[in-house]
Amino acid sequence: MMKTLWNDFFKGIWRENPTLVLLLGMCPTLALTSKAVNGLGMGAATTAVLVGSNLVISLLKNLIPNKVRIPIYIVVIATFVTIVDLCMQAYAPESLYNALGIFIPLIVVNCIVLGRAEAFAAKNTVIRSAFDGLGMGAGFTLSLTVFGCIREFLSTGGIFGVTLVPGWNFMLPALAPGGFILLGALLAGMNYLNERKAVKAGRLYVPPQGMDCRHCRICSIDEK
Amino acid sequence: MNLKNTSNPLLLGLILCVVGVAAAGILAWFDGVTAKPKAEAKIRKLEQSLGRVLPENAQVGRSVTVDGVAFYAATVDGAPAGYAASGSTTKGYGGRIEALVGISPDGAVLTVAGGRAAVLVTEQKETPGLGTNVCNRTAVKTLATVFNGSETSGMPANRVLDSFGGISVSDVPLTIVKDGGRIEFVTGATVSSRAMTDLVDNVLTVYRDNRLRIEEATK
Repeated sequence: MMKTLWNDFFKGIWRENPTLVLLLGMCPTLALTSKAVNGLGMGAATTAVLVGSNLVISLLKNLIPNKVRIPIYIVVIATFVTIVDLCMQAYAPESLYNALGIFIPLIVVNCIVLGRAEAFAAKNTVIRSAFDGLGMGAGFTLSLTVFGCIREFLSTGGIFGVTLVPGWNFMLPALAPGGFILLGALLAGMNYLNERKAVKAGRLYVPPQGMDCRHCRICSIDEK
Repeated sequence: MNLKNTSNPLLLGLILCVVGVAAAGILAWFDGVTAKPKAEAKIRKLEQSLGRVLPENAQVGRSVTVDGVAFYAATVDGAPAGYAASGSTTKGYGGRIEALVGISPDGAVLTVAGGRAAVLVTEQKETPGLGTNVCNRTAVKTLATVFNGSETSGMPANRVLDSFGGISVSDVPLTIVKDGGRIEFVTGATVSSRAMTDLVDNVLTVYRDNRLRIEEATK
């Protein structure tokens, strides 16, 4: 039991990392990570929404008819996003809310949240879904923060607003094109590590099955 | 009870309706819970930025909006100490820029703690690394300041914003050095520099043309 829960949590951090392996939620990944602290804030907000929506959807999974499940998921997710938005307006530091403000409502359409609701929460128990949400959220937060650190260091010579290389100023990594280039490099590095690990174990590296577009049922609502 | 495979349209509609009403109810309740902290955060934010562009110990009194510029009257020990004017321009590289400008009663940009000009940008969407260098007052933190905990008073420096110090209504129209004026600019961010100049120019012009009206309205 504990092993299953640990596995549900840990898979989101590396093996099925939402941004680096599943490639879901690319919009906040590219738009917000010009600073490390923004990535951390967005990751925390998304984690809160993920855990909340996973909990509620797995709790109600037997009461949600298949034919109207997508609108119901969206309503549940939107409710949690609005709650997070209200909380941030009331309690978050002003500078963080200014930086993330317009992206918080967009968590509603972040594919990770709907993807986990559909692929995991609708089929599994409440506790497992909560751990899945936590793990996916942690993986998302971790990759956004690491990506933010890299971009902030390359553009301003510092991390979390602390200057490490005085006088360094290089615009490209903080802008969208630099974000794409660095994301590509990061994905290549991730694939390289996974492939090398697989080769050492004498296997062929295969990305997680059942996670890519062909296996997701969201686009094929009328089937079944 | 398992409703997974139900296809009765009335039941489907009913379930959607119940979910929608429940979500609306939860949000209405939560909005009520956070209403007070939200309003407090908003006031705190305004007070914080007003305090930074006004002289120390200034009390903020009544406000009036003239031609899109909001003037907050300030007093020190009962004597008028000037205004914090909230102006905006749409000429920025990323569109709208909003800033607070502290001005003295005779219409000059105030100089506040640390010798900084009382200009503070409150909203902007300029290019990171170029236009933001014109608008943002960012404190430079290094490992040394983090570990030694250095005390900084007042606002961090900004070459462009600080060059507004002492500029008064008699200097209008304002232009940047590149255009033959007195305001500093950042190479590569001329548009943002010109926009900031336009913003302060607009605030000073509105104050010059409506001085009596503003004084009357904020008494």
